[in-house]
Amino acid sequence: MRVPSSSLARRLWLYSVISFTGLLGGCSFSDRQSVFDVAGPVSKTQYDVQNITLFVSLGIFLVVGSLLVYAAIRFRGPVDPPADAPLPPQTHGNPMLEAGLTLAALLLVVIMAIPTVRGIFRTYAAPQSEDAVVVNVTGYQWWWAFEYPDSKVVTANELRIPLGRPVILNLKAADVIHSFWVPKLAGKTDLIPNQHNQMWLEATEPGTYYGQCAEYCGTSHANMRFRVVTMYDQEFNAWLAQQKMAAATPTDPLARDGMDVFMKGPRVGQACATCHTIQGTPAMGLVGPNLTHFASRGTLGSGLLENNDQNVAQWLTALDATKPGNKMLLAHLSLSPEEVRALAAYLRTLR
Amino acid sequence: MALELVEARPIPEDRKRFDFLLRLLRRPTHLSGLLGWVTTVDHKRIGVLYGVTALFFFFLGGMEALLIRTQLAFPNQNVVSADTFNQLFTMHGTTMVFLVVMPMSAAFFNVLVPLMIGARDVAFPRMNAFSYWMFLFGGLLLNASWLFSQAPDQGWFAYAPLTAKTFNPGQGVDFWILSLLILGISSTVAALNFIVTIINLRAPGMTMMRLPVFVWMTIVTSFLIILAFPVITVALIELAFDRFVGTNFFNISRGGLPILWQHLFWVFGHPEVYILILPAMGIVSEILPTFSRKPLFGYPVVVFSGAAIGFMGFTVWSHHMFTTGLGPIANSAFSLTTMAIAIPTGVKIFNWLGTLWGGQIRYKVPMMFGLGFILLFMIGGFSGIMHAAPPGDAQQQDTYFVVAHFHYVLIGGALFSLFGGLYYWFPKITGRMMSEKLGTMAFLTLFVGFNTTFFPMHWLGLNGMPRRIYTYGEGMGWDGWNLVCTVGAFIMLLAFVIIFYDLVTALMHGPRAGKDPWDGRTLEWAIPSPPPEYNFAIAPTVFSRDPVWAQKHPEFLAHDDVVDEEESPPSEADLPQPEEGEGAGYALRGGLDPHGIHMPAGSWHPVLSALGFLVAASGLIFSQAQPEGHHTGLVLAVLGLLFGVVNIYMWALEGVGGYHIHPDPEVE
Amino acid sequence: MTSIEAYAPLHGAPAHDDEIGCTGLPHKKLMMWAFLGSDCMFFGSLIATYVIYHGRSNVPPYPSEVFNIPLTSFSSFVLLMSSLFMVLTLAAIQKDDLGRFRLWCASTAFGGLVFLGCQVYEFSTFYLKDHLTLTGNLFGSTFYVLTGTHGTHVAIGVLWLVSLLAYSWKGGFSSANALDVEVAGLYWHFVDIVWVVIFTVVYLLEYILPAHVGG
Repeated sequence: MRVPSSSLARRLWLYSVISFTGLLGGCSFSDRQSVFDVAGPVSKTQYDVQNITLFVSLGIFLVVGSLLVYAAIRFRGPVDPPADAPLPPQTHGNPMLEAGLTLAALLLVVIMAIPTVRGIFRTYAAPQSEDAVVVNVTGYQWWWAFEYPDSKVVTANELRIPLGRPVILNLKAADVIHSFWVPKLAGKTDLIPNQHNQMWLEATEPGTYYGQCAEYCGTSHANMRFRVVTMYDQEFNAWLAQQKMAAATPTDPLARDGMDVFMKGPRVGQACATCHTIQGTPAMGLVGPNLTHFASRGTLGSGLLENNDQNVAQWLTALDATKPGNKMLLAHLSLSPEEVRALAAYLRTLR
Repeated sequence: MALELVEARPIPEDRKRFDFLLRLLRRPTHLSGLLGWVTTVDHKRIGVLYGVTALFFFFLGGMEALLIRTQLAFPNQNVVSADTFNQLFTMHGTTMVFLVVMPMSAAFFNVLVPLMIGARDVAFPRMNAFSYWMFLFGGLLLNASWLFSQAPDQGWFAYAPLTAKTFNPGQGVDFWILSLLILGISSTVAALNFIVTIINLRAPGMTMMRLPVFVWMTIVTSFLIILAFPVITVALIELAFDRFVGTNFFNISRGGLPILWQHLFWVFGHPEVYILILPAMGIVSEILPTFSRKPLFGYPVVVFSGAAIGFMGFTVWSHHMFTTGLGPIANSAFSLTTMAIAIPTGVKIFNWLGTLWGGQIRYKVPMMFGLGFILLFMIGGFSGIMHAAPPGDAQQQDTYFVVAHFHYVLIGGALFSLFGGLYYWFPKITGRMMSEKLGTMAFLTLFVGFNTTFFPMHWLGLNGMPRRIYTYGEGMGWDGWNLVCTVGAFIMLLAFVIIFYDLVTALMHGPRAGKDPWDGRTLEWAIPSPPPEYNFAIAPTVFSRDPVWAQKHPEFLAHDDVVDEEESPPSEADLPQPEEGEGAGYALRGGLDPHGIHMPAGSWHPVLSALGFLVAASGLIFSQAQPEGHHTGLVLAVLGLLFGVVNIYMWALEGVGGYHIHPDPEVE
Repeated sequence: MTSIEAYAPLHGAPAHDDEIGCTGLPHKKLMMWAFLGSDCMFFGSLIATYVIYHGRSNVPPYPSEVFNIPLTSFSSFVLLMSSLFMVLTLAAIQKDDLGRFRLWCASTAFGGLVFLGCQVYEFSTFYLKDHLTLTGNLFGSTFYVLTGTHGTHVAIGVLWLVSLLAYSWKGGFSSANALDVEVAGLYWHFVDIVWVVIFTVVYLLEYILPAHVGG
């Protein structure tokens, strides 16, 4: 009977070793929101300070932890010593040792404190630069508005920034507190109603960076995601110029029907245009995301789904399942399948 | 001991015309049975009530945690809805902080403090009962929200303006506000009681610098409670006014500042962290010396660093707000104060290590929990130092790294120590031993399960997983480790099942524990297990910091190290000294009091006044759910409040009352 | 065999008097001091809220438009005088002078009532004449909740004093009850001191640092 059970145990052991190494192997330092994979000066400074605190802490932990394990093994005695067993030396303390250890702890704290304070100031103020791009960020339940005040461009959930130039973000909240966080570019700063916060970041490596709201903000807090996309300078300027343009009126008949639904709604007073803006059309709503160049964005629903025909249709039909608690009134509209198809076609023309 | 029904305090003739009120309720005389428990003012029974109730809420909070972990085991799951998930983590946090760790500590305060200082009871026994009933009713009120599908979903920190009616129109926040107000009264009243008890009711010779460290941590915690809870009370009152009346404290359009809520909350919230951990540090400081067979290393330093942690705890609150844009100066200042608090904390760890050093460690279950505490608390402490640095914290804040950090502090720290304390003092409280075998199994399972659950969360946090998300997408690199965490949570469940099984079987047929099953050091081990209701038949006169230990091991006092400066202050001459024929630790002088021992009578008023406040709070919540023009809720609230106040009046008028016990001289 | 008997408080053995602890301080007094420490944090938080919101109120009426300093100075003076009466109340009962005790105790409570009357008058004028409401603006919310909480403290104090007064007609009220009076007195003095702070911060400071009209 022993053999099968021990072979079972061996197999279990083998499985767990394999799966554990598999997991460790899965520990990639370049995952989408990894703080280890820094791509800009702000996250770099933050990473460096974190490393100092990590290594000092780890060092003390290894020393004190080893002493603890050593003491726990070295000084073990009988579990139930006889009543007349001699006592170990009854030491009460050692003032010199205690004072020394306190001073050592103080020294280690100072070692961490100096780079910390330097890091605070370095990450706080944006460098004085004429290159700097200013973006006004507004957090809504549960999506992001990005406004480029210099060029009057408004977009949502996808922040485009020029590579290698500092970006200054003015953070505002429209309803409750949110927090702007793109781990690879910069740690988070909160968006707080009645308070003007600012942060800055800079991307030194090209890429698409994942970000997410980091302050609990209600039902769909988990679904308040966004992307930061870097562009080379010229590309960026071209993009701004394109985003500034009004939306083109569709030529495709299906899309034209969709535009009709968007502007007038299935019934009076239930138009998409009440809440959304599409520049160059009567749609001037300010409650929801600006959709002027909706189809030019990589994602949909605040970083939730890839922006393609199928997902737009899903968004319009299964909205509440896709994004619980959303503030859209779609559910009340009960669009017909034809209307959904037309609307999706229209939205996909908004390049 | 003969239990006879006891007459209520006789009312003197000349007072009868005024005391007609008192006759509405006869003084309860039940010493046993359900009524005995409801009207009890005995600190040991109240302690047991606290402990059992806290275990019940621990079960609820644990189930909430398991649901959370099940939902997060895989990406894009729908085990529970987004709203339910948000309710679960709000209730899990609130429950574990206010209904589990705090009352479990209070259970030990209640049972142990009077025993350890050689007192008959706490200073205000009826107030003590009132604290318990307010705690129970506050906890029930909070959890009643589940029954109405109105559990709060704003997070345990309840940041404005998410708590405003605009964003949270249901009654969840109302349930949360009112139960926290009730729990706050409970904690404040209990803390006042322990402060007076510890300062005023010490036995002769039990100087402050001879108090067991656990008692020291109790008084430090009590001061933290009375100074921190008023702040959250004010925040809650402001929020309640906003929601019930329509004031503008956190009304954005009228200029309200959400950051004010955060300041008020964390001026309370950070001391609260120490309210949770200091009692645990006290328990460990009792367990380690006993099972190392050595005195605590550097007692004065351990006491002083505990007090320093408590004091400094009020200077670090803004480190919870590093990402709110306070500015570089404020962030630097709060970062430095936070790092500074690591020093007294580190000093405590050094001294615990010094206690083990050169000892004869006995691997009993309480000691395993004690050693586990030091290791796990250290990990929690070090990750704490990591987010004391604002640049690093900007990445770590509100991620699973923080979740890992505070679970290492609150489970690896507080709960390991509290369960160690349970194994250590269970024999004293019940007179029966828990199983070493089951206890060892439970400890190992818990240790493995805990680390499996929470260690990977460090990685998840640094890999960008935010807290309080009910779901996450695929491809973020979070999938596998979340499953590991969930598996760990179920291993922890197994550990708690073992502990619960052990508790129940030990209670029914555990072997009898004598007075002193562990070769203990402090005064509670000098009296029978379970202690008689009067605790000490003769109040002990104390000669030593570890009186029971010194009594058993006279050579302990003869050791050179004992006579150092702090042991012989100038006032030494005033302290009682052992006489011829007395032990080195303590003496029972003067014989039994011929009048007997005066025991306070039970009382209805603590439970009834607490009930009144419960009705008032429920009425207020109900009034919010009622349509315009209906006032049943408000009427209920006023009646409840009146009932509560009238009961407090009657409580003041009924007097101490009581009866005498003549202990059998042979028992002692 | 252990035996139990009913407690008769008649044999008067001082050993049963557990009210005074090993520090020589009575339990009740010690607890009241600790409670007052706690209450300091309570009022501290409320006053901090008021100060932080000072000048942030963005719709009228503004503080300088409503305050009636002469009236509030009068009521503050009465409240301070009542503290003096409280001292005399305690002195009387410590000397077993029941008559004077009743006189001064009633005067203290009366002082408190005058203060409360002025507050009621002040609140109703603010409300009816100046249209300062609890919900209208931030100033109204912070002002009424802060001063109202203080007023509630005064009202509880008056109730306490009246209870002591009524109790003094019950047989056996004497210097043995001085502790109860002293504890009530501690509370009363504390509430007065808090008012001094509130009066300074809320009313007087308005003349040094007026809230900017229009926030």
